[in-house]
Amino acid sequence: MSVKNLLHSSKHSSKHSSKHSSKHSEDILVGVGLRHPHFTDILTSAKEIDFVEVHSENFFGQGGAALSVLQQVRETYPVSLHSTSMGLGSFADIPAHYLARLKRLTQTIDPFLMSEHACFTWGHLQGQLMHSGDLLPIAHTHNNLKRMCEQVDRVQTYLGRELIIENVSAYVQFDESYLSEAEFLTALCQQTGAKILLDINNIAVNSLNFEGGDIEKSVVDYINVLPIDSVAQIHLAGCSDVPHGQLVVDDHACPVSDDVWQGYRQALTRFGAVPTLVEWDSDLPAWSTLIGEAQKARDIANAVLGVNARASVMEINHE
Amino acid sequence: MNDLLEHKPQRTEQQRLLAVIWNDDLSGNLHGFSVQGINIYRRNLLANAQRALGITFPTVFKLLDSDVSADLVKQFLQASPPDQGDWGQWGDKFADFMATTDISDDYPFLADCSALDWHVHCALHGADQTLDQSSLQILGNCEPEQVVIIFNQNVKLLSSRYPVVDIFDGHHHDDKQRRQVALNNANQALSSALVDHHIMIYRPEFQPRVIKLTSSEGQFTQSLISGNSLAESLDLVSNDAEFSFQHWLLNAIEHNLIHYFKESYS
Repeated sequence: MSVKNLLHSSKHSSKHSSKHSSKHSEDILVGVGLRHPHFTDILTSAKEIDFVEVHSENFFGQGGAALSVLQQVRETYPVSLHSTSMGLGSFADIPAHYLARLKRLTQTIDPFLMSEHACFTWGHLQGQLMHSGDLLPIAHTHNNLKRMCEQVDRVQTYLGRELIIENVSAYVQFDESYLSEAEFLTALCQQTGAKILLDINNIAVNSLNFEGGDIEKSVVDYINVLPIDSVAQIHLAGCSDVPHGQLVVDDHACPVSDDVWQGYRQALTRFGAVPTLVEWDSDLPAWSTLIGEAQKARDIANAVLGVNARASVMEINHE
Repeated sequence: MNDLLEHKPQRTEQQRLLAVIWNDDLSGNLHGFSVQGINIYRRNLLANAQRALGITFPTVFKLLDSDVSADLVKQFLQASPPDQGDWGQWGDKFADFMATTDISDDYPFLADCSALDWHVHCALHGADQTLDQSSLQILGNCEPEQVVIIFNQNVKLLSSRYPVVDIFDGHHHDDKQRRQVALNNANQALSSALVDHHIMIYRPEFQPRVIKLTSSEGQFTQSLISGNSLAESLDLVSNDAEFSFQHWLLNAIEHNLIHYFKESYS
């Protein structure tokens, strides 16, 4: 049973929703993933981004310096809580202790967005519940869709918040899958009221690993399945090159690639001024470099969503 | 029952992938998954685990060569898989695990160093607690038999016969010269007769600190932490003319050891 009608909209969510539907370039919200080495930078630099996103689990402690920094950051920036361990697609239930910590953090930070991945993380080995330590892919079947809807409903009800669910990069595939990930996410959102976090780089990684590597085609095919009002956030990231024949790993260790920027243009054209985040997790660059990537996203959004925005939307929808 | 049957196929497919990544299937059967893909997940898992343990146990991982530590991480993953959904909370059993490893036969202080690292890590993320000043009046209004001290939850006492505070300071003290002195002290202590002593972890503000306590300080503090009254705890150190409760109290307040004073009715 859907909980979408039970969910309250926070102050930030309401603001975001009205901006989202306006599709004007000046309304785009651009942020960066905030990691520990940049704590001092964000607290001492001029405000050049609209929001930050943090990994929820990094702030699960009851107190301490990291949480204090996040609370200081929250005074200036809206914060998006991006979880990586919930494992909404897990057959095993998400442990209550995990959800309790997430709820406590949610109440402390009052995020304007809350997101997770369409993956599984919890399972049993030798009879014991364990966490996989990674975002593991799920088979895209109706049974798994039903299971994930149950988990999303449970979490949304418990937190009293709408979730945004991210497509994932994968390194193995299941023979059992018969839905595309885009079809799976679309159905998930329709049945739960959740929204989609569209990670362009994850589409690119899966394209290179499993679909022949025509990234532009993979992105267009993917986004054309998603309803126009279903995408609540976009993620951009880069990953390291690998030798020919090797699987690409989504390591978030590089600047956003040209292919992903092109995919971003296509996504903006279809979905409008969706809040956009640049992620960088390994080999972190200087803060100014990261901000430069965010500025590039803003420039592209301004270019795509300018005076020709409406014409472009029509064009891509007819492809 | 129907619901259980309906879910069975997903459980099998997810269990299959988990088992292959965690090398739980001794037959080596990859169950149709690509070798390359599984190897990526295995490398990611090991890298995440190494990074997490390196952050949580910085002293131990500075002491170990990288090939030794990588092997220990692999063993620990199998012995104690993460179950919290937060790598930062993984490692509560690491000190016990270290005590069982071959390397601890040669370096027996590693388990105690692990315990110290773990409690420092926990204190780093513990609740922000300060002294409830209003509870100080209990000291003036009640007899010592009725006074109980509730410590800041970031205060922990450990006991060890090894110079783990010097080893810790030798790797983490801000001052380079103090680090060298601490390492020299540690080496000297390890080559001398080892004596059990108490170590205290506490957090004055955000940065946890560690300190070696005198025998009386350790006994007294341990007694209070165990819930004994002030009078009972003072009795334990009554033979030590050097011990001063007034000095201890001022020090405890200055270093944020006490959360509040409580009147005991028992």
